[in-house]
Amino acid sequence: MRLFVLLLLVCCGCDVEVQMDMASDKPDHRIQPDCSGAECPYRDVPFADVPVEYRQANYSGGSCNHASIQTVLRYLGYHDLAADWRKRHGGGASALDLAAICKRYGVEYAATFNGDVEFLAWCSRTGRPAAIHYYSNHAVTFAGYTLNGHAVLIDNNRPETRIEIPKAEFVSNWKGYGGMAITILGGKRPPQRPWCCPRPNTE
Amino acid sequence: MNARVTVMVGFGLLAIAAGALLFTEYSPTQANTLPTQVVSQPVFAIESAELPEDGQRYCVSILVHDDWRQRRDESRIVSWWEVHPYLRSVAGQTTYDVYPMSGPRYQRYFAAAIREADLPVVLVQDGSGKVHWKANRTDMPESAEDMAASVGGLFKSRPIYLLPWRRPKPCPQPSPTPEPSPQPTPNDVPIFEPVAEPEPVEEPKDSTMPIIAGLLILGGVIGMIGGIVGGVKSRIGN
Repeated sequence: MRLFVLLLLVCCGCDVEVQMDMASDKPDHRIQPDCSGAECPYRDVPFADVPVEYRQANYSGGSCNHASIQTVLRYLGYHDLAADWRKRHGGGASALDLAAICKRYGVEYAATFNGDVEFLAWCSRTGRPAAIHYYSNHAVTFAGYTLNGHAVLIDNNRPETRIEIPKAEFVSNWKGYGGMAITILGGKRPPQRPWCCPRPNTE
Repeated sequence: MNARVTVMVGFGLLAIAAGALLFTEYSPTQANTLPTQVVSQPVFAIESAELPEDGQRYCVSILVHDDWRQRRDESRIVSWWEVHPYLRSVAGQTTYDVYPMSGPRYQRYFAAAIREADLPVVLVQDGSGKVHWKANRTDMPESAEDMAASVGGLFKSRPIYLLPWRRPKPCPQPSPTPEPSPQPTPNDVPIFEPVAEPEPVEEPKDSTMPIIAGLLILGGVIGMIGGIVGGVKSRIGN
């Protein structure tokens, strides 16, 4: 009987949090205070915030798909591979062609060719940009969604400018343009911008 | 006596229900990754694959001057993370990198928040960018051991939940390992050579949960049978 009461207590929620003692008695001030309720202040920054220096401009009169994937490669730290790709490949291509080139390079990649919206959501929440078909006969780099609910695109015809589109509108358009997207697995994704707990309001 | 039997059967049913719930929640077949499509052939050969859900991975960033190799204090800190077993282990389980001040990444992500006078800076961030541990030039640990103890304190100071299913996820708890898997350097990838892609770091699966669930169910069944048998015996005895 006691065993069952004990089991019931365990199952029904008499949880206990054990705080491990640290090596020193003194609190380590380098450990930032817990602020589990605080939210990231960078609400308009996409999850794959690609530096301008890594954005490949269109080249050879129309290599938008190649330029888009080279931006992805640079963001993930594959600078030599991106440079080699730039040197060897150009001209018209599709996401399928990019996949074939990735395979030749031996780079693991993930793609959708049927407008899988969850694929873009996964790219965004794991901080991976993707080369996508967008606009008529064009490809751009999808940099992810912002906390404000916008999709951010980097167009290789004007790489310095970031394009923000409301998520629903973007998804609808993307499906209309064929719903193709390809990204690279592996690599080193940089961290998000650092932020700390907001200072307590003392007033 | 009847009341006792009822209580035992009731507890038994509750334990079985709890065990079943637990088993459902922590079934080993539960996938933690998103099934989607990875293409292995260019046309119409689509395979189903699991994509790594590694967006919440912690990041360790060391921010340094451009000439950090010539600066004794900064090169020493970087070497700690490459040599000390615990720090290497943490680096291997997080996204670890060194960011020189004039690099595009530093300028894009850190320049607005970190002053040059504070360099070197070591940051431990979660997937959202929230800083959980930070040391700069003025309060940098004086040895690799101190650094390891302090960074380890970040993880040790997290509450330990007696009930594993109440533990917040993800809950990275780096532990020293003799040979941590090194973080691949993308630029080391040979051109036109097959590349061994790094295994995505998976959250440790709680393999004890199905066992606990099974024990709960077993205990419930035994308790119920015991209660019923006891009740029947007492009636026969009467």
